[in-house]
Amino acid sequence: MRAPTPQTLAVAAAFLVVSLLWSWPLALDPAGSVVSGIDTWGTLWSLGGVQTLETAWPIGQNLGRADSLVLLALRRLVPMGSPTVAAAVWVILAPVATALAAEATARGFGATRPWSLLAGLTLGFGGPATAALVDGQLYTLFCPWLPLLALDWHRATRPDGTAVQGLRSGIWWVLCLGTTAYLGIAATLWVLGGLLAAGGRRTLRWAGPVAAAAVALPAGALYLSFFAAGDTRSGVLGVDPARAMEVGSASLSTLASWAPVVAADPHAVASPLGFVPVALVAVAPLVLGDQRGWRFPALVGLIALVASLGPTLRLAPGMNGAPGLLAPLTTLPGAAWFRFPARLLWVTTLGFGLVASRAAGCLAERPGTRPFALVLLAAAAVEILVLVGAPFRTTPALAKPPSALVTLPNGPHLSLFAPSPGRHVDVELFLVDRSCAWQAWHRQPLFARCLDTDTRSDPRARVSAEVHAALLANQPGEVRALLQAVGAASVSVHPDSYAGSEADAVLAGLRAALGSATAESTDHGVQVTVFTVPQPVADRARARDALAALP
Amino acid sequence: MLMPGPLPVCALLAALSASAASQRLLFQVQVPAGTATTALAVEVSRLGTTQTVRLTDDGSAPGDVPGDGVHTGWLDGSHATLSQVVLRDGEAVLYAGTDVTTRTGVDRVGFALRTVGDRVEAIRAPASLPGAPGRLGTGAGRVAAYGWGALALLYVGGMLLWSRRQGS
Repeated sequence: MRAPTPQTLAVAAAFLVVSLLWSWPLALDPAGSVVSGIDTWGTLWSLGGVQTLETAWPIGQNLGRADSLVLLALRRLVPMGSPTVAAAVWVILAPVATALAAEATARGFGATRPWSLLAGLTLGFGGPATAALVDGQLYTLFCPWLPLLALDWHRATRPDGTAVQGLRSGIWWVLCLGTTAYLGIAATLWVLGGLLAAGGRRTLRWAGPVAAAAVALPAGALYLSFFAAGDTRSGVLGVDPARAMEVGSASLSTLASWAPVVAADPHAVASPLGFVPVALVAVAPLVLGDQRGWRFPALVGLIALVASLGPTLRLAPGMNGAPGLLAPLTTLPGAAWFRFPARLLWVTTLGFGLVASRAAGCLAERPGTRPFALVLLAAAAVEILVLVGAPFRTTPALAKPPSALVTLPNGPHLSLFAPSPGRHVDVELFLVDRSCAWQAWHRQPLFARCLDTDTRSDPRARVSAEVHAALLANQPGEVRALLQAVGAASVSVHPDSYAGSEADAVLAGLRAALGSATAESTDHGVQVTVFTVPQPVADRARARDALAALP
Repeated sequence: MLMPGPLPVCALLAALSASAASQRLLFQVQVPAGTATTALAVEVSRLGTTQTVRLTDDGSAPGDVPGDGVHTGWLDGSHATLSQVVLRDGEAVLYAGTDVTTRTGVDRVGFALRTVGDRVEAIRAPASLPGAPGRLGTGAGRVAAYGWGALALLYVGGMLLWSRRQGS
């Protein structure tokens, strides 16, 4: 393995500076806070290294619904310490790795330094990466595999392509799929596009693609069977696919900039592309002309861009529009799983970044234009921070658990919240997600399902509903017997989730059932009261029978 | 001899870390023209205590534009990630619900009033000072983004023309 050159180290340092600014102010308090996002808490749970058998007590859960198998594998291989520190280090370093890979790929596609930095900036810190950060899907930020796949696949499908290049491409594709399913779909789009382009030129040698398929097809089939065996959240498949895809699609306005209205949605779909790479891609036909190697990245990026607009081409979210490229997909079975076409923009930022770096380099070679091109490079970096807007779209959130939850009694723990408090089920989902994240600290089994969390059908929801019903009926003996039967060793109540006097009623009922609270705290922004359940059933099978007997 | 004090950077980091434990909840209610209100107030319960915040449109809140129809008020306190919020106009309850307020520093809770039949109710709306929640701020951002886009295109196009002229 070659040692990095001083130039490579300088490029890495430049990306690190951008990353620190991009994730600001995370670097100020990496041990205590995380970037606030709807999926941040699930990522913290994954970084905590908790066994899935310790969730959804007493049933347990398999890994079929894991957001990122690569994250879970890395968590096993690399000691990461505190989940918050691990998340912060991940947020700061993962985009640097992705950007470095994109920068190297750009040079592989014919760009020169420093213009190849454009590819790194566009992919590592661009719209899709920022949307992943805002959403808390931190695992997506570490995807050097996508640009490495682009480079090796480009080489493998040339007339002099080799089986080794194809083999490497297959491995990169598997890693993309393991990082997230959406990244796997994005990688597949790139691979199929490359195959069609090479086939169209009649220059394809099959050694590379066959070697890639030898790796990718078995791994892909394994992944699909794994996914099919996963615990299915009841809500996903009941959603109208067209409606689900529209919410998760890009629109012309979200491609241009982000806005507080969009950022207020549960999931961030605003993935601004940045106008500097778009402008350079727009002039690429004039600048690069007959040169080789730029048309395919530009074309596949453009196709992904149109596909990211989803089933309806709209000017802005919520507006009416014309049928889009993905409209036929909405009639297919299982289409509801593909809820975020906007994530195909990973392909666009990769393709456009590669072409933009080539075009900028070509412009800079012309007499008298180098200073202007350097200004453009600086503008691209500023644009990433301001227009794409990560520092303005993210805020730190306190992540550490309240002190009352750190020292729970040994045994399964039930978190009790008001069912669907307020008018938004998202509030309850947030509370479940966060209670799962805290498991990384207290490490007691939870009734909540922590992969593909749910507020309706998991053991936590079912036991909570019964506990609330018994409390409402003023039957403390029933509450105690139920908690003992399902094996709960402790119960935590979050009074702030209940409206008005409901919290007092719940606390009084639990005191009558279980005696005085054993711990209370209001630190880290959370009010929580913990009760210990005396003599719970310790046998998982008996607890499972008791759960099965619930309505 | 002067003893070396703590590094300014360390002091700054400590100050910023300390501020993470406090929180300002900024409440905004967009009142459409023609909608009569008497005394808008928000009752907030969090971390076991309940406080009431009066909302005004007189520019007294940071960033508020007086008379723009957005009534504003704020509440300083320890950081709380969950709040029970009841919006009242006099005795009438316009909204009651749970709000997730995870953000340290300033977290905004926005509402918009609407008239349904003969009664006024409030819905949650994205908050964005100054002006109407989620509208003026959004529009200005979009205009700036498209302006920048046009500038970038002109700049790159200009570079291309310049280079061609130099080349010839």
